[in-house]
Amino acid sequence: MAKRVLAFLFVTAISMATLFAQQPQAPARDQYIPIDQLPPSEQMPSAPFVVAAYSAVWIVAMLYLFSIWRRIGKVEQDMQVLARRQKDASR
Amino acid sequence: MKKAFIPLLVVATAMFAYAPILIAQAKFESTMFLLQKIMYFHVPSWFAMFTAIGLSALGGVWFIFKNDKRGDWLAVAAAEVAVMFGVMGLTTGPLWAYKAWGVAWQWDAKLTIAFLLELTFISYLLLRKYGGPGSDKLSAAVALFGLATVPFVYYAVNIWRTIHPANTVVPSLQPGMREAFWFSVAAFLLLMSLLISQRARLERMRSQLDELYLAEDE
Repeated sequence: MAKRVLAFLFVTAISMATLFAQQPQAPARDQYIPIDQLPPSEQMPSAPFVVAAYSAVWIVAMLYLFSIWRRIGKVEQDMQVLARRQKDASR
Repeated sequence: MKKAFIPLLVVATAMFAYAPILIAQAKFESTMFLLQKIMYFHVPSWFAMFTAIGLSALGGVWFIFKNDKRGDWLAVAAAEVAVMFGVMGLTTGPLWAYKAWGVAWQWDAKLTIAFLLELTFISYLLLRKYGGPGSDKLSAAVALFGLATVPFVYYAVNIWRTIHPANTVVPSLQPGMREAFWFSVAAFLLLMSLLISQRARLERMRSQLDELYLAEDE
């Protein structure tokens, strides 16, 4: 009996949640609206996307090139340390 | 290449600085207008990635069959550069898509396989870093698998139903757009060559350093 009551309450809760989750919908537009007639808040300009894409390419390439140079510098430093150590050991 | 690097880097930088001017002067596409101009950097970044993947696989094969370390240096360098160009492609694409499709990402065939290709080469780099002895030959096989994936990325729009623009966009570019596009492709391929050369130099130096450490231990 308790199981049946629990099942009933569960189903009722789910149904109520579904009912309340349904938001009132805005009336459908019956015709196409050209983008230039939309309010400015709904228009998305292309320029920021184009600028962002070109900037991303520059930034990624620069960061990568600097990362290679930094790693080359570190290896050169290690080689110098090693050469110095070998020189000291040979004395 | 070492002597020519700086002049060629200056040329590449000048090309990347001039490309936006050339692209701005190119004709506008009739449906997407300004947004379509992302294509001039997006598509060349994938071209550069595919070329780098080809070089990585070539270097891997060279290393496996000739046991030449130079092949391995080329393979690692090209794989890392391929990942970098993949990052460019996967950044510029969603920027275009956000405006064109209304969402930055769709799990459609072309995009998903392109993402998996990027993950393949990230796994290549992880394998090289943490794989230990023998990872050089194993990673060569990963590069070959990556190369085998490239046609699936390119022809995905022909094989599956995807929302990505078709491969006919580039061949159908009009005069006035074509020049700017191929100029961008040349700039990207030059940058790719320069980055691979520097990254291969780093790998050669690391190899020399390892030999020096081994000599010191002995």
